Order: sequence, then structure tokens, then C-alpha cells
Amino acid sequence: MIQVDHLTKSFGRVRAVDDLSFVAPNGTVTGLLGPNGAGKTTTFRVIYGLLRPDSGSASIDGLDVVSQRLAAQRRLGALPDVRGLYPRLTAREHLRYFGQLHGLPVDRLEARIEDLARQIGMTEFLDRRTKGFSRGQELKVALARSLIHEPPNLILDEPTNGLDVVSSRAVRRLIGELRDAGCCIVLSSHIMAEVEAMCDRLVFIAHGRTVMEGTPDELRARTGRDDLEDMFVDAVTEGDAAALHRELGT
Amino acid sequence: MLSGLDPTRQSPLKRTRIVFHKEVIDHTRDKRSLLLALVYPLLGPLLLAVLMHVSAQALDTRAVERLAGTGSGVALTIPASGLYFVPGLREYLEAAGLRFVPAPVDAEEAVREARADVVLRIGPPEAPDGQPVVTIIHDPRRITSSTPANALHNGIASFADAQVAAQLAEQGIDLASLSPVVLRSLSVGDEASLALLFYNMIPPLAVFMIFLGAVYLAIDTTAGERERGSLEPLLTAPARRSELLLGKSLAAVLFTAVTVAINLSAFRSLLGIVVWQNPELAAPPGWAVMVSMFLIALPLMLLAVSIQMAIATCTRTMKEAQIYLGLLPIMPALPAMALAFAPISPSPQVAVIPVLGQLVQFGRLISGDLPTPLEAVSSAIITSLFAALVFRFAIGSFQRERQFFAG
Repeated sequence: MIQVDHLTKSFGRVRAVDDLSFVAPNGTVTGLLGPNGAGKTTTFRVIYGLLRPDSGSASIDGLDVVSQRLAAQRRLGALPDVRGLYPRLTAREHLRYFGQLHGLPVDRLEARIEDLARQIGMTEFLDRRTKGFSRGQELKVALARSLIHEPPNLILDEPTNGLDVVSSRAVRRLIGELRDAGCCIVLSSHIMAEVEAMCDRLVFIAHGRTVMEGTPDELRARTGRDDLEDMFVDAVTEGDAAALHRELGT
Repeated sequence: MLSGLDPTRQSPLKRTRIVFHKEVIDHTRDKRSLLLALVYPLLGPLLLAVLMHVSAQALDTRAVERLAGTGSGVALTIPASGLYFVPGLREYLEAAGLRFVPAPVDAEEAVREARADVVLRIGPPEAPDGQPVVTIIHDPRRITSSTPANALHNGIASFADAQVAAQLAEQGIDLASLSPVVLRSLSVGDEASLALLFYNMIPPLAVFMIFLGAVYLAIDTTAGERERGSLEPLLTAPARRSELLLGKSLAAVLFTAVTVAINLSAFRSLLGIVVWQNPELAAPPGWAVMVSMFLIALPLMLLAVSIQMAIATCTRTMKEAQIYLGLLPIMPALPAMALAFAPISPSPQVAVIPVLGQLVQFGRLISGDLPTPLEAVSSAIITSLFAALVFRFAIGSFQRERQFFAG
């Protein structure tokens, strides 16, 4: 379970995350949705243990991401928006490197690499250096890297960005399987059809704050809208207005 | 689903080793890192060897000695005209090891354009009872011209002295008794001095390589990793930043050590070849000296990598890092160069100053002395402590949040 509690993070005078709270339970896919600059990436980076919050907290399975960073990171798989591969290493070496850093024993690690390669569809290029990989291939390697240690919690930033239809469907199926296995998954995406197809819970954020949260059905009932995209636009517009009011002190 | 691995199972040392291993594999596949580590260290020794060989050939000390009446010598061939104006000169100089060929018509032009190194031109007396005019045409800008010109000048002066001495002797006068002084020149060096001048260049060039060997690796594993976007996934792995940076730095130290080992081996080998071809030159510093230099350089390698990491983690882009780190090797090499030409007397205070202490010890080794144990140990400890201090700063810089917003 991933829990974010009254999280605030500023960079200079810019408040990227402003008193944000949400809970992502186990066995569910939680969509963290918001326009560009809403604070999604900053929130993820705090949960990854990369940034320290100014106030509030974030925890993974009850482990504080600041004071118990290493233990929390062991229980988290992260797919950042920038895939960040090493061009001179093969896909297998990427998985081996991160598996070793997570402390997997050698025999278990090699078996896990083979399993993941089959599962994600990367056996063909497993032993090729990643320089020159297509965006889809890069994403598969990065996704496998985030799953190498079989984490019970996952953060996936744009998990199907750059994938073709077949590969996108395979990733969606994988995410579904992980959820069914009890994994807590938080993802962000700008593709509303995909969000609708994958997410059990939605958290809309704007200007670093939660503006709406619930299951798709709850949100439909609350807003009277059927279309997720309409809901999203309404929520963001309300968020903009609220932010303006806060700024003006009205 | 794995319920999380035991965080205490893996030691920090093991995580550092994993990062070290990855960086070594990664950069042994990188042409730029390999070029810096394996090829660049050959360039300094190659340049020094070529310069030493050319200088030894150009100075041709054996022929000069022959003219001075010593040494076995080899012949110098001089284009000359009008030798018949001075009876006996040709025979005298040929006996001293010179050979003559006809001078070109445009002698000055030929020397200026380096078609000839030196030309001897003898003209008729300018007055009826005067002496023949002997002109040595040479170009002082070229050592290949100045050296035979000097040899020729000395030879002709020696001939003139012998002629005068013979005439005076006929009158019962000893030429030497007419001189108000007895002039002697005593050189405490020998032909080896030329070689020593070049051997003194080994420390600055070696120091340059110490600070250059792993520059690309340092940039690529820090600023490069940030620009590539691979830093963020790496930092999501359960490892302390200090462990990550230490693993990267140890890989950089390994590359630096390989660079320095190649550099010093190349100095010994290539300069050895030059001395083999020019046996009058002093032997280069031996393998034991090179091994000692390598050991003395170890703390300096730690310092060099620490500084590289500190700068690379502070810079915002790879380009910026390249600018600063490109200048870095010059900083310690400049005082090293100054010391090569104006050695300072080693004092306990100097011996403990990082870089300077090692340079003084290198200088001692090159000139055949040994650093004192106190000097070697205190210098190593102080430099290592300084390296640790700089590395601590680098870790602090690596932990800053700006790492994700640079570029």
C-alpha cells in the first residue's frame, strides 16, 4: 500500500505539491491524473525516495520513504517517465544490475530475467545493447527493470507511452495480472481510455492538490458525467479556479 | 509476488562492488574512455622519445668531441667553397673528421631554406697583404645548423691557433705564455645532461595523465547519467548515494591506475629504445623507479578522482563538466612543469602538500635518489585525507536534489 499524507514540496517559490493526500491500496490500480505541471512527477519522486518533502509524508507498506528509505525502496518498483537506459549495456545486463542492487541471489536473478523476458516479450533483444532500441523496446526494458525484484508496490509513469497497440495491450494485461496478484499499482497516463480500462481508483490533482478521488463509478455519481475525459476537464478547471482563489486570498 | 527482500542482507560494500563492476563493464565498451585510458598515455612518452632522439642526433656530440680532439667521432659533411685559399685547412679539418662537398651557388638561400644546415665559404683576401675571408653561413633558429657551425668554428679557430703557434715557435716563443690567463671549461655533466633534461619531463607528464585518465568516466557516470535520464531509475534502487558514488569513483580510480601504469611503462620502454640507439645518453630511470612512482602516485589518483567527481556532480550539464574537467589536468601539471626546470629543495613542509609532495618525490626518484620513508608516508597520508575530504564534498553534492533538475 502506498500512502501520501498532507505532502508539500516546493522548489524556490514554486509549490509543486500542496498538501496532497491519497491512499493506493493493495490489489488495486490507482490512476494519478492531472495536467502537465500538476505535481505528479514530484509526488512520484518523493515516493521513490529521490526528493524530501517539505512537510507531510509518504510511506510504502507503512515504511516512511525518508526515514526508512532503503527498506521502502525494496518494496517498490518504479518506472519513471524518462526510461534512462545505458546504451552500452544489454537488456539482460540492465536487469542483472538492478536485480543485484535489490539483493537477488544469482540463480534466482537469472531465472527471473528469463521469466520477465518471456512475460514482457523481450527475448529477441535480451542480449542486445540498448543503443538504437525503439521507444517500445526501451520501455519494455525499463518496465522489466522495475519488476525485476518482484515488488509488491509499483509506480508506473506513462507505462504504455511509445508502445504499439499489441504491446500496449500486453502491458495492460500484465498490469492486470499484477493487480490480481495483490500488487499496489499507481500509474499516470494522459490516455483516458487506457485509464478507464485499467484503473480501479482515480485521484485527480491540479496545482499540487487533490481535487477529486474515488472509483470511476463513485466519480460518475458525484459529477453526473459519464465520460472520464469530461470529468477530468471539469476537475482540472475547478482546481484552476480554486488555485486562483487561494492566490488572490478570496 | 515477492514480499520484499531483507534490507539488511546486502552489505554496503557489496552494493559498491556491484556499481563498480557495472561501470567497469560499461566503460570498457566506450571508445572515449578507452582512448583516454589506453592511447593518450602513450602520446607523452612518444613525444618525449622523439624529441630526445632528434635532439641527440642533432647535437651529434661525438663529432663535436672529435673536433675538440676527444672521442672517437663520426664525420660531419660540410658544403664548402674556396678551401684552396687557405693551404692546409682542408687537410686539418678532414683529419678532425669533417668531409667536404661543393657548396651550392646560392649558399645563404640554401641555408635559409634548410636545403643545407651550414655552408663554409672562403674568399680571397680583401687587401693585397690581407688574409682570406672565412665565412660560416648558418641559421641560429635550427639546432641542426648551429651545432655543425659551432664545430666548424672551433675547428677553424683551432687550425688558426696551431698556425700561429707554429710561427711563434720558429721564433722561440711559446704561444701559451702570451696569454694572460689559462682558460679551462669544466663540465660537471656529460652527454647524459641532455637525457636528464628530458627525464625531468616525466613527472609533469605523468601528473597530467593522473588527472586526465578517468575524466570521461567521471563525467559520464555523473553528469552524463543525469542527462541520459538513467540517474533517476538508479536512485530508486535501494542503495545509499555514497555507495553509488563510491562504486563509480573506484571504477574511475581503476581507469586512472591503468592509464598511469601504461604511461610510466611507455616512458621506460620508449626512452630505453632512444638510449639504445644513442648509447652516449644516460640510461632512463629503471623499472624500479617507475614502480615507485606508481606507488607514490596512488594517493594522487584518489585525489584526482575525488576532484573529478566533485566537479562533475556540481556541474549542470556534460558540456559544462567537460569544460572544467578539461582544464583540471593542466592545474597540477603547471607547477610540475616549473619544478622540472627549477627544482625546489625538498622540505618537510613541501613534502606534505598534495601534488607538490609527490612531485618532489618523483624528482628525487628521477635523479637517482630515494624519498625518505617519512616523506613518502606523510605525503601519502595527507593526500589521502585531502582526497577523502574532497570526496565527502562530492557525496554531499551528489545527494542534493538539484541533481534531478540540472541541464
